[in-house]
Amino acid sequence: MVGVNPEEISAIIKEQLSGFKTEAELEEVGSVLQVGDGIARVYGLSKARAGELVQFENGVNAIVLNLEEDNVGVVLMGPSDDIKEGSTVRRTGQIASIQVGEEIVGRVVNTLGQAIDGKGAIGGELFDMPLERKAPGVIYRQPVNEPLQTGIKAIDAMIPIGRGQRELIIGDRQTGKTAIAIDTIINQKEFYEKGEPVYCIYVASGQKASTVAQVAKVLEDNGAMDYTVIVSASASDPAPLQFYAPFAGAAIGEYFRDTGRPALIVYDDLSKQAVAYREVSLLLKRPPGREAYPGDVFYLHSRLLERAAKVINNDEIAQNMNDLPESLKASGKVRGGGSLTALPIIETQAADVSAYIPTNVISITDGQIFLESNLFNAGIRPAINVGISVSRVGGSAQIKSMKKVSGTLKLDQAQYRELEAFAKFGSDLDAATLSVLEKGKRNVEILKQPQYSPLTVENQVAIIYLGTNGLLRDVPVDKVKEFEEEFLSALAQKHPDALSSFKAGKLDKEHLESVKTLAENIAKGYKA
Amino acid sequence: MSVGRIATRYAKSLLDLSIEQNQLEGALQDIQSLKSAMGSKELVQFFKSPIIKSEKKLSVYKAIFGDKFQSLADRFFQLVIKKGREDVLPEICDEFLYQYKEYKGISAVTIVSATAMDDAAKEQVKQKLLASNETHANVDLNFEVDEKLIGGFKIKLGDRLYDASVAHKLELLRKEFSN
Repeated sequence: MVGVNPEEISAIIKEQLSGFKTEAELEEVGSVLQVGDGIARVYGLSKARAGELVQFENGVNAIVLNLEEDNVGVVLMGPSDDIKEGSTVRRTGQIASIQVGEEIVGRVVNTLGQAIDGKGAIGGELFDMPLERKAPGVIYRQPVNEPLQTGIKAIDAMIPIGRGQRELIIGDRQTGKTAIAIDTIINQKEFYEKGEPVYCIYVASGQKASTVAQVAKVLEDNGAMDYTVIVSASASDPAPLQFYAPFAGAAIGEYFRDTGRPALIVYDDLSKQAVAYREVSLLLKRPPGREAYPGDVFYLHSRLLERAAKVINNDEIAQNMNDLPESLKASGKVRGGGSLTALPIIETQAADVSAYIPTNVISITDGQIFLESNLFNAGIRPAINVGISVSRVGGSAQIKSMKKVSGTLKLDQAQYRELEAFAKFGSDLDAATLSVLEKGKRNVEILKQPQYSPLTVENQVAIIYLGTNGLLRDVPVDKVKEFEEEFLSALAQKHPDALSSFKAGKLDKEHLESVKTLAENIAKGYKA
Repeated sequence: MSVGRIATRYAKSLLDLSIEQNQLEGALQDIQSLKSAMGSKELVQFFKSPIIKSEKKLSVYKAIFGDKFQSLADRFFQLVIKKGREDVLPEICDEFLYQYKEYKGISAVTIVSATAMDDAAKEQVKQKLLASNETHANVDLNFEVDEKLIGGFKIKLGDRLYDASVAHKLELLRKEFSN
């Protein structure tokens, strides 16, 4: 303690004391009947409401989940060590919420919003954002109309994601699901540097703590932590913290969404979250249903994902949004035009997408990105199966130039896959089939992309233009990557005006002509 | 079925029948004496033991209590034992007392204070409680002393708590500063 003025201390104490009420109030209490496995049954609390926060003597909070005839079932949001039979539980009259402010950006927090990265408490002005909150109603929304650039060619060209959309990433273990999400977060750096950040939230629910640490390090190394929050409830945390972690993440996302800014949230992953919810439900003696999940597991995910939204671009209407938290409303910071894009992740077992949780989440989201281990092992990375991956609203959220260029790509690739089986018969194929096959092979090469290297949309437009227009036919398949690198660096040097016009959504003839000439010149060097 | 619900149903049947037969006060006395007998841990453990057969339990019950109870309560206890619910007897007793008080319009209030109260103070508390409209027309006061409160008092009224103890205020103050 250096240079602390004793007068300052007494002034602070005085200030805190002045707000202190000494009057006792009539409280509603209950006593613990049974405690264990992260849940407690409490006798009394006859007026407690579902979802309400209650507090134990030792300061541990709990959430009321079950209301029964003569007791309530609560889930503990902390250790149960000091809680014994007969301990007193007090009602708080509030619903569970976490404190969010500008300074939460760049931090790693737990489900309760407490920093766990060792950098001290989160400062600045904080707002209470409820964990469970109703999604904005119809009149406070607008259709998705802006792209969320992932920086991954295969996604931005064929399965475009818009701001406010919910796009599922689904696949077996070790197929690169998290990698896609992380690449997307890293790609938002461009917007951060431009001063229009897309705030990112990475929610780890039931992940290994080492995986979370690794993700944090990758984001840090790529300069992505400046606009990212990590919410971590690792596998060793109590099940209630694990299943509430996505809700905490959504609450943080809503802070940005409702203050008029775009946000992106990754739920990694919802299958483990559903398992945590199943555990709690079974302990609370709720009847098990299919695969032993409780009956409301669909509602659990649908109400979570429904909070992803594009808010109407009108401050006045947005300020009247339903269920706005009081503290945020009073601050006058609510603006329209914000968005929350959700990328939930589901891990399948042996590519079984007809299991309970995958089918549920597929039906809730606005599209899905399928990742397959056989593609991954064949060296096609990201291992996206473009045939069955779709984006149900993304089409209107692509910039014009990309839309025009990639229009035929999906169809071309579908034809290619159909004819691929014939390719094994060798050369006795007609010229048309052969050209489809050759083009397809090169497009597959173009769509391959290494990890942590997202590409800007203008570069994507340029390279996909070459692919769909067959300008790579002279480049051998195994040299396509090499060609791409050379072409893109030459393009940036020689025709920056073409790139900026692509970025603006324009596809002028003269620019396309210069791109074409450049590509032909470089391709000559690769001709076998 | 949960213990609470079983106890509620048995207690309610005894209460209703005793009201019908005008034996409410007698049943209350018997329940109270059984409850005080249940203060013996061995007896509770004996009744809760799943190994001992219910005939054995019934004969032990007869040996201990014999004809000490009135016929209504006696028949009730024997029925409970025959139905194999003797393990919930303590809860049934508590539940009966609770339902009895509800029926009679008596609120059970526990007052915990740091030091023992004198009779004048007790009377004052009673008058204040009756004036507060938070209780039924009659109150059944139960005074306890807990030095941990340091000063002041706590009033427990069902699942409501009025905490005016110094210990609670200090705790609130601690929370205020730790935020």
